[in-house]
Amino acid sequence: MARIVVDPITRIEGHLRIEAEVDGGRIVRAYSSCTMWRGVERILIGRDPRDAWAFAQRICGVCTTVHAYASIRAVEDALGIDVPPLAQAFRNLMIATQNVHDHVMHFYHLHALDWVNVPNALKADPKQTADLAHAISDWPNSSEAYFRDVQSKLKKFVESGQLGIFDNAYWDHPAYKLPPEADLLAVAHYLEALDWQRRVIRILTFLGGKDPHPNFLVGGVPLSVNLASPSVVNAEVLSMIKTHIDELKTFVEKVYIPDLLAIAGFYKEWAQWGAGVGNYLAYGELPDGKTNQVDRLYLPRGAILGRDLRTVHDVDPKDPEQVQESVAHSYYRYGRGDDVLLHPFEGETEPHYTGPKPPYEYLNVESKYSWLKAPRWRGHSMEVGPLARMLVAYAKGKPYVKAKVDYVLQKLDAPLTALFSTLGRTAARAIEAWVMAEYLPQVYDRIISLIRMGDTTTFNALKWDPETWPREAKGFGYMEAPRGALGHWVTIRDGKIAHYQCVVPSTWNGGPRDAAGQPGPYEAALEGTPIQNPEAPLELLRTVHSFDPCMACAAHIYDAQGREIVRVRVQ
Amino acid sequence: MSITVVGLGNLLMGDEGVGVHAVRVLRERLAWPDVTYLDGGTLGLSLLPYLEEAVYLLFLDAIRADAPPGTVFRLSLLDEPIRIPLKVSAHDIALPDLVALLKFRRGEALQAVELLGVVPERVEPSMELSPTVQASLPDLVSWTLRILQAWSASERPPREQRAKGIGWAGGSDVFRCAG
Repeated sequence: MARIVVDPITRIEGHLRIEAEVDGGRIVRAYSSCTMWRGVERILIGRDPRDAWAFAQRICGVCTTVHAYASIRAVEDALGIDVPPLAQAFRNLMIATQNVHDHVMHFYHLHALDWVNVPNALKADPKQTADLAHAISDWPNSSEAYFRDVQSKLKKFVESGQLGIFDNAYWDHPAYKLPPEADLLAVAHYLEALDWQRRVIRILTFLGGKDPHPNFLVGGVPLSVNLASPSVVNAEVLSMIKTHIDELKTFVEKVYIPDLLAIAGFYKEWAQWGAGVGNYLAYGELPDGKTNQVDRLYLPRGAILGRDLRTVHDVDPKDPEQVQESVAHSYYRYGRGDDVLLHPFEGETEPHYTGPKPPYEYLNVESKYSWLKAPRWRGHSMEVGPLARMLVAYAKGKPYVKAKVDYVLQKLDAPLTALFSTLGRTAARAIEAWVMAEYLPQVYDRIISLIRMGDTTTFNALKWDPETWPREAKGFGYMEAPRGALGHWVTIRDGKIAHYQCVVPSTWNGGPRDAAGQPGPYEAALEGTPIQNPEAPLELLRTVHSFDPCMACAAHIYDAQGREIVRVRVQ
Repeated sequence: MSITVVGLGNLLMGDEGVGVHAVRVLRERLAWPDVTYLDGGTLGLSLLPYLEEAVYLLFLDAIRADAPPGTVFRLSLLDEPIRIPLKVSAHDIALPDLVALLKFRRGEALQAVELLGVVPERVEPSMELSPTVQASLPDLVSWTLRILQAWSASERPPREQRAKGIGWAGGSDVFRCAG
């Protein structure tokens, strides 16, 4: 039996590490480990809860916005602060924009290279590529001359020895199956997505400030609205935002969705692998009413167990019996013993490293083997992310989700059960981007109509003063980050943060086994994945990437000498 | 001419955040009209839109090297072909990837990309720099000043004047900043 180890080795403190046992051309067991302790929650203790977002947004580099929102929602929940309707709408606009942005970037700039063979694009006939482009979409950048130009740019780049961004994948791997024309089309859109990103980010900079780390405000949004004033959110800014929303939506409809369908059509076998635990959890997102009015979440809250879409279970993240974390296989110690499960309000973060001294060959998977805890919902290992959100919304009969899921399945000639797979996860991300892209003009219209009605309040100052706070208060802040359900649990005592716990999406998805031996979603999803060549485990990466993993949240130091970042080792 | 100075790193991880600490100092100390300072955090590829107008780019970050903590290194990132290894996560997208993409997209328009890196002492949850790395900040400021002055005079330092030192992937211009 071969054991594959995929481990990023040069970043000092380590990242996601996967060990997979391969037998008979398939993964039979997999172990997911985070090789670094973070524990950044401790930095928040003793701080003013109104400032917590500024620290929380640094928890994870790429996900600044989502941690900031989870933090301010947790504090607002604890202190009983309602956000004015206009502020809620602005938040939703930013959250939906960020979601589409992240999904497009994930698809084109990370995941696409698992399916698209970049050097193969050099063999494409630009005329046939144009024919293919016309067949799947009426997106204007589709002439033969356009693709010839992209191809020659790529050729020049490759010939100069600077494959750079496209280097180092397993280009000879037989699991790449697209015709060269589809490869060229995808490369063109990889580049277009970068231009698209520049314009989308302007929506966020108009509303969040020029700095890439936007500002947030407990009780509202740090924006003042006056249609006639030059220095605030005015008619001109709103009209620019609308232009960018329209561009964002067009790109999703005419590029992302057609590309997803075209590429998925060549990889339909991936609907049978990568399902994983089959349990799905969503906290829900886009509150059209008050933040905690669960029945008014555009993307609903709920849990699905055992792939049974007939029942959506209610979820209460503050119930001590529901969301709990196990440290049986995690490098932590609980005061009451490692067999118990603790709710985040009671959560303990006492490091207890028992693993081998680095550098080591293999993890000791019988014992503790990850710096991630193992979160569970009512004892079940749960997948979070776009697939979970789309399944919960589908099962709850939300028409704006159901129609799009059905459309994609019908185009791929695939049954509903195809969603429980690596392919389904990747498709669900695109479907969600599409749902969000259609939501954005709606929330924009709501912003305009609130302003027209004269409702320009963006901040609720009623409980800003700590004098108005109870001596002790506890709160939960949810956030559907692009990669899944994020929760912050805060306890405020005497005006300061007394306890803080985050359970992040990649802890749900990438966590290790629990006391009962149940694997986490990555671990379960990898079981059964075929591996043609253990030295080039492309298939393993396809499934792991389909989750949009986020393990490198804290340290990102690179190396002045070494270049190799991922080591694949086979026993 | 457009100069952008970007501090990279995670503020919650002690010395890992040195680039962001440095940019906060520089914003006050070297507030020049044609220089944009950015707190880049650990945004990865999402930083790209903020960098695409720049003609001259300077990154400040922690760097791992076989040298004592607090040592400052200067690396030129423009001339070397960059090989980007396989990614496990979108969060692995780091500086070399950004530079490769900028080179691909900007071509000749990009005049210089340099990195000033500081060897960290402590990378662990903390908002503070270690005393050693804190003491390197004046060095970092004076090296930034030299680089900005050279760029403002619209002159890249002649190739032969760049010292050869520790290899960045064997051969590019890396040298230890002394004094």
